[in-house]
Amino acid sequence: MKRFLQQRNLGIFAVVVALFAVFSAIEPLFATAANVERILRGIGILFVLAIGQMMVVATRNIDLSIGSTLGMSAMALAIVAKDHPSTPLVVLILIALAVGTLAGVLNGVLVAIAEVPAIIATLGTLAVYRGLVFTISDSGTVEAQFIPRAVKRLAITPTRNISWLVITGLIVAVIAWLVTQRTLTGRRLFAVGSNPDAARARGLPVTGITIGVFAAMGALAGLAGVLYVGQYGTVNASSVGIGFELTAITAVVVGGTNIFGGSGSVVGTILGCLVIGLLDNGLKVLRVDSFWQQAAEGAIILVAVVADTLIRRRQELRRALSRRSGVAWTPAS
Amino acid sequence: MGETTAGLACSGVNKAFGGVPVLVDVHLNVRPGEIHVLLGENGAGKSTLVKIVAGLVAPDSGSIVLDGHDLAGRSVAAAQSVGVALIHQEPRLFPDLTVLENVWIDEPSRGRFRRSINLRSLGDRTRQLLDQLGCRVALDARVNSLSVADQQLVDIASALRRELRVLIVDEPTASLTPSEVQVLFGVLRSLRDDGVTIIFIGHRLEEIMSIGDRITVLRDGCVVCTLAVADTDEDELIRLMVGRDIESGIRTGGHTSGDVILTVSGLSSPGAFAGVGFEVHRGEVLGIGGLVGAGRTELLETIFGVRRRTHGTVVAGGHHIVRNADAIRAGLGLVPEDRGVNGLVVTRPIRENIVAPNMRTTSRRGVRRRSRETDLAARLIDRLRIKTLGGDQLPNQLSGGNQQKVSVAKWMAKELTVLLVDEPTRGVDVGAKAEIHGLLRELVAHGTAVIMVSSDMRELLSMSDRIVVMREGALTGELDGATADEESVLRLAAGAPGAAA
Repeated sequence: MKRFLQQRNLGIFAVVVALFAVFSAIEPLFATAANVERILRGIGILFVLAIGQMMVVATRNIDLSIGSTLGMSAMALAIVAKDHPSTPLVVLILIALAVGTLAGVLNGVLVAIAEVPAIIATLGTLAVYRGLVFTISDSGTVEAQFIPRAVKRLAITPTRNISWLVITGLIVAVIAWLVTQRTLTGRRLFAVGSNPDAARARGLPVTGITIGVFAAMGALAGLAGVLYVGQYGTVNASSVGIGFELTAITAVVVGGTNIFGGSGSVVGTILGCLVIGLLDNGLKVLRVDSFWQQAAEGAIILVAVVADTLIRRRQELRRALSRRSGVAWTPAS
Repeated sequence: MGETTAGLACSGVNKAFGGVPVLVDVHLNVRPGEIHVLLGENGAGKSTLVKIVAGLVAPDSGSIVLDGHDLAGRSVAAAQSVGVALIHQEPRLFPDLTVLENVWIDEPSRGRFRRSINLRSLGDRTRQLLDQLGCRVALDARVNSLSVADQQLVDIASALRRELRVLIVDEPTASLTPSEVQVLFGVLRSLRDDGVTIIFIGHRLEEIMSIGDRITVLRDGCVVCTLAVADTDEDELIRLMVGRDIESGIRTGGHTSGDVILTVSGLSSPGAFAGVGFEVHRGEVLGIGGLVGAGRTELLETIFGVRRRTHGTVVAGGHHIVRNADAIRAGLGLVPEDRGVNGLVVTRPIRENIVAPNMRTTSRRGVRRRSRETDLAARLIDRLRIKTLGGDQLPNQLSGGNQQKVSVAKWMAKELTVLLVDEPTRGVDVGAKAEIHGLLRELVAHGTAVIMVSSDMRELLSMSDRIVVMREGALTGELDGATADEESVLRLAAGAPGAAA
């Protein structure tokens, strides 16, 4: 399995290198340290969301509500900061995390206990949570001037030239890697997605795992909400987090995770985010029309999925051929 | 493992699904350290009984006692904690995970903070477990790259890591080769000698006689009797299981006089077989023999127009068959090997499954007629003696044999010219097997031709008028059904031409 994933990650890594080389060759400004830092900062939020989404997809589920969850967390943080300017930073962050986790737990309960298919359940909560963002904010905007400097520093102040956005993303990635690769609990995510019937037959706590993974996703969306406020300063009810779920899913799929569950890796997901970040930034640097940028993003998801399917089919064929030497007879007596 | 004093005792176990009794007042005593065989037709209740013992299904009443613990209605985890493990026919594994992960995935977390276990520290222990079973797979191999036999051993290794008291194996040999079966039996015997109690479910009587110590026969959810293997024989077991006499092994042999109704020539499908040609006559059974993987299933699929071909033609009644629609129009039908996946739509009622290829006759001007559908389904359920609550029941609630009958029934309402059947009685009990053979003979008597792929030698030899044999994607020879024997088929299937098998 390790070798297989590494092979697959190698392919995505090659794409990352190729994109970087092509953009650098066309536009020298692309390969500067400042621009690389900008690329990484630009995908900080995506990073956190995509790693959560990868774990959800590994269990054969999907979470479409994370853009709205991020919106709720960011808006809750901004409103508390505005109404109670003396609230300490830690409390603000905890509020955002709590809102996100609660939203995630509700998703998990809908999927695991009410047995609503994840795509439907989270499509519903996508709308519900967005509605709540409008409700708590009176359809308004919390302007940047009300956001405490400590929050805004998350994005603005570089720590040795690397912003907290990037550092947070890396910490999340390391923790997620340890959990998914090194612990049984983490491997169970993949077990549930790989064969749900077997998971039940072998007594794995499928309900708990499912709620847990959605809760973790919610918490990460809450964290992404904190990062959002730090990066943009202003929180607007009708734009905060809109469409983020789709970019996260794109990164996950481009990163080699099987959308039907059972597989996925943190490293692949990071590479998937990088592909999106490079394209985004590179096309901007080259001053490509923003409509074409969107089309490009859509195109790479299709290329990734088609390539993945072709690779899988080849491997299955090879496996089938290597098995053909089997002998099976029921002797007549 | 160690010495066990008391065995497993099931008493007064009752269970009904949707009002249909599946187990009726079942009493079963399994002695410690014996291999106890559960025998019965599909639908007799064996699988339900062992699922209750393993904690997967709760009984309506009754008790399951192991060493003073009542397991009835508890959970899988509770059964596991007292040493009960259930191994299914299809191993309950996770194809995307490694061998190591599959063995340990359900290990409960322990320690102060219920800390999750570090997998890498378990490598040596896992190797030891697999060595004990003679299984040489790599620990980091993904399970979907293993053979079914190795997958089963991985499944058993996973059960072995706890103190194992009762090991239940549910039809473990269905997809194993003879040598793999011998390996598995060796493993089971050595576990028994270590004091593990083994409950074995199987259909093949030869195997049961060789592995079992005692046998309990179930029929229609009731225990018929428990016998020592040494005191019985195959004929008695069949009588006990079925409760009626069965015609078995009547050789049809040699009716090849009818007109040619299907001609296959130079047929090739990439990666499966090449250059296959033969003729099929009205009213004959053409058996296709060969080893698993010889390309037989793929050949049937290609004739039926559902698999891509690169060369060759299939002609029936003067019409070329290229696409699946051509095949159905020409009166071909296919009963595939895997009824749960390709043979039936298990999420739709039996009635719709039967009606599916007959819509032309049950509808009027493109509009479905419920009454005609119901009539047709009822007629075929009756004619094929399918045991069901009615046409509205879902196929996956039926036993394997009855599911297979539904898979056959959908073709029986039409004027069939050729019926293609792939392993028609695999995983089907003795009674249903005889009934399915009877159906095929009935079809043949009315002029339909049957092309039958079978890995069951007795079935192949007794049913076929002619036998063609495939090896590694090519036809290696044709035999007369009346004179063919196991050796001549095997020689064509496995050996070099003319060499001794």
